[in-house]
This record gives sequence, structure tokens and C-alpha cells, in this order.
Amino acid sequence: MTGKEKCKALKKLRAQIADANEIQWVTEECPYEGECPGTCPRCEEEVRMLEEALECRRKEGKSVVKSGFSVDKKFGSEEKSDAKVETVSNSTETDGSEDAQIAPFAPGSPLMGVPAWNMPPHISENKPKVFLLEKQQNEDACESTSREEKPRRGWLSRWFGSGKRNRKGKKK
Amino acid sequence: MKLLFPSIGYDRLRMETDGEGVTTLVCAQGCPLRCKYCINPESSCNRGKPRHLFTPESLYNLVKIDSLYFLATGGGIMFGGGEPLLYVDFMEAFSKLAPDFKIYCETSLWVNPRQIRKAAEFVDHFMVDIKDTDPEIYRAYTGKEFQRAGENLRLLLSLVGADKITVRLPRIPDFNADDHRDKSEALLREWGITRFDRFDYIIKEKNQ
Repeated sequence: MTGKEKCKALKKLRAQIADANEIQWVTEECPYEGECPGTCPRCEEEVRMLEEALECRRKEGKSVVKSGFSVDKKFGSEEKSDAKVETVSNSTETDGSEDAQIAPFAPGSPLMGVPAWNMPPHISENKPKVFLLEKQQNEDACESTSREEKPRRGWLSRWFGSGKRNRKGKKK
Repeated sequence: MKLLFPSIGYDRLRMETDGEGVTTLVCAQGCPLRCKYCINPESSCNRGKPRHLFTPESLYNLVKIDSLYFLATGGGIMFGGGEPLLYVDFMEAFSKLAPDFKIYCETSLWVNPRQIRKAAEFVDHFMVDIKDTDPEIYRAYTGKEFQRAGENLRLLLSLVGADKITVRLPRIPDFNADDHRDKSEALLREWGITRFDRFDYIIKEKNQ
């Protein structure tokens, strides 16, 4: 399963969780076309927002559906044969550093201990995007009600600003 | 005594390769076996300082980022390596911090029976890498005797039952063939094992 396929499967899973909990969920398709580990700060921001929405729902006394979902593996690569294979190395012929290329957690591997907050280099190339996430909230239950009427600022704009400048021409 | 887990690395967002649902694989440094085609040779004990040294709390803080996926899909943490049962006390402490996460363990079972008994209390599923039940083949490939692994497998079977055990039967080039695997499977079925995972090793050449 490629990183992109994982990303799609997890995106679909998030949408299923939101749907099961009557959370209105609108996200943009990821524009990045290169290799990725299946997650990125943007995806993880979506997870955080979904968890917040579920917590709001719980505080409102509504039922929260958190289990019973499955990963849609149709986004994964098709099995070409019934034979399963595992690629291994001849450990007696190497000093270990080359063999690390085989294991998924080799040095340099995207998922090798990379903290979730590390931004893949491609992110800085994208223009800040705003994705609208509407929550059905009880005004008394959650503090973030003031965001209901405004498009929610994407996390990128928090880093790169809104592009507006003050009277001295400096960015706000 | 502080419980520590020396790790050579971890792999997030694995999908139904370790068991049900979305899992994170955490690999231990340290293994009693010396398999010729070890997939993680850096997990051997004599490979120096581990890449990570986790406490139960630090590992939980690391993996909980995917807790939504674990809970939604019935996934959790797969402890592999290396030999994770060398750190069974750590695993137990971790499982208490994360009672909602499934705990999977990929092991050779070449450990002390005490560690098997302890693991049986909290591990949800065991992936047992038995290599081959032929003692000659086992000794040639791993450098150790099959007897301990075999006895521990029977002990584990008596403790948790066949549903919680999947035995991996690899076809290892230069060491065994399909008829050896058939014999291994037949023997293990006599013991009561019902779940098997048959697969082939493909040796990656050094210059590939």
C-alpha cells in the first residue's frame, strides 16, 4: 500500500466516523502528487478536529460512535497472486546500515520516528488553503461557537499568515 | 525499577498487516536468535545504542496520536523486533496505560517461560515466527535449539487458546522447502494450532 493509498483510506475512514456521528465534514482533496507516508500535518489536523467534534458531542450527552469501522482496502494495491512474500537481507553480508533499507523504519524512511509535526518539504510549496468545517454545536456546550459563521482557517495560514499587511507595510 | 524499551524504530499507520485494523509497529532492540536472513539485523543486542529508549509513558504519548484510528478499527500496537517478550514487563505496564488499544506481539517464543505466562495475561494476539519445526533446520537458520520455542508454543497454546495464535511458516531459501513447511504445519495442527501464515522469503542481494 502506497502512502497516497493510505492517505485516501484514512481520509475515507475519517469521513465515515464523522458521518456516523452526524458531524458535517467537508475537506479538500490533497493536491500533493508525490510520495508521502500516508499522513502529514494537515491530515493530523483533521484528526484533531474530528476528535474535538466527537468530544463536543460527548459533552452534549449524545451518543458517540468510535468503533466498528474498517479500513477500505480497495485503495491498496491489488494482490497479483496468492503467494505472500517477505523481502529479507542476508545479514551476514552487511554491516546493518544497508539492510535498514528493507525494514520500513530504516533511517530516512518517512515513518522512521518522524514526529507528527514535521512538515514534509512539499507543504511549503502549497498556497495556504482554507477548508470549511462546520460543526453542529450547542452554543452552551462548546467554546468555539464563534467560528461557526466563518470559514475555518487552515493550519497553513496560521504559519504563513493571511497575507495582509499593516500600515507600515509589514505583514500582520 | 524504571521500565525501559530499547527500540530500533516504529512504523505508524499499518493497515491490517499485523492484525485487525490500523496498527503501529514498535520494534525492540535485542534478540536471542541469530537468523541468517533477519529482516531487522540492527535489532541484534550487539548493535550499540538503540535509536529510542522508551518508558511506558513516553511510548504512549508517541502512539496516542493515532488513537482515533485504533479505537475505530480495533487496532493498536504491534510489538516486534527483535524479541519484544524480552521486555514483557514494559509491555504489561504499557497495556495498562492504554486499555483501549489492542496489543499484538510478534515473537519467536525463544524466551523464558515466565515471560510467556506474563504476556498471555494481556496480549490480544500472538504472531509466532516459528521458522521451521525441524530441529536441524531451526538450528542451522537461527543458531539456537527448537526445543525451547516448541515448548513455549505448547505452553502459550494452553494459556490463551488457538484463536489468539497465528504461526508464521516461511519458506526460507537454502534452508527449507514446501514439504518441510507441510510437515511443520501438520505437526502444529496436531498440537492444536489452527491459524497459519505461509509466506516466502525473497533474499535481497547486497547490490540491489
